[in-house]
Amino acid sequence: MVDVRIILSALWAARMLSSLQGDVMRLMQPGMLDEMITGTTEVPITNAMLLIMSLIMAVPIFMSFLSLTLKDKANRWANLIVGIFFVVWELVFLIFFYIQAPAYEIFWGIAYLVFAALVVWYAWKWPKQEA
Amino acid sequence: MNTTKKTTELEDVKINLKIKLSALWVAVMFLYVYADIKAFFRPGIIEGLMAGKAGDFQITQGFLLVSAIIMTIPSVMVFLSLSLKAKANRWANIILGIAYTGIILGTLLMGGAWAYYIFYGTVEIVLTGLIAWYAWKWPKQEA
Repeated sequence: MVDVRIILSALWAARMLSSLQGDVMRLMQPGMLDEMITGTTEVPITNAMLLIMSLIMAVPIFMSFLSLTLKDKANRWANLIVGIFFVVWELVFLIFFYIQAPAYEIFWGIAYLVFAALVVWYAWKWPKQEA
Repeated sequence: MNTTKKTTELEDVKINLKIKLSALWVAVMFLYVYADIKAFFRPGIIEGLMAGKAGDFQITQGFLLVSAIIMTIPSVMVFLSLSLKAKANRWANIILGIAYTGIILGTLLMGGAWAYYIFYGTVEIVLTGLIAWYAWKWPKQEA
């Protein structure tokens, strides 16, 4: 059995890699580049929006490192809290955005959700040992 | 008089095969993403995308979904290489290692690739080849 901390770190890395690839693929979607050039994207692209997205997307990157370095108790709670945040986040995106989006977006959205849910699951079932 | 000289050496631990396989999938996935981003810098690519074409391919829902599936599997393998039991783990890595080596080899053999892609493609082939190789030589233990 691989140490739970390594699995959690890998789950955050997998989550980040898939969303990075998903974001690149979105640029290939017909019409997307035209909308970006003309500034007519569904969600307006502003300074504040880009900052918020950058901050939120930095979290899984740090979690991939923190999952290996934080002490067990803090580690578990960090993964539970951040994991649950991302489960909710992905659900909101799936329900309100991806559902009307092309199939590939739904597919990616489900992948992100599964990774976040697995983080919560593994953190919840963190192995116990005698004190 | 005997003087025992204390020598120290840097701590070194053996990294489990599952962790190596997971890390190889991380590395190869980074290369896939970067190769795709680099493509946007090639003259004509963005114009092509805006006209609904990715190279020789027409960009359709089906094309994007299949690409999404092909690119999700390596991400999932980052996790599955750690969590699957040895037997299933080994076969998944052998089969997918060979499959992805084949896919990238195919894109290179289509011809017309720019030098940067030949570079990325070659490194990707080495990494997925290593995945299949490591999995093939999975260490044995007595049952």
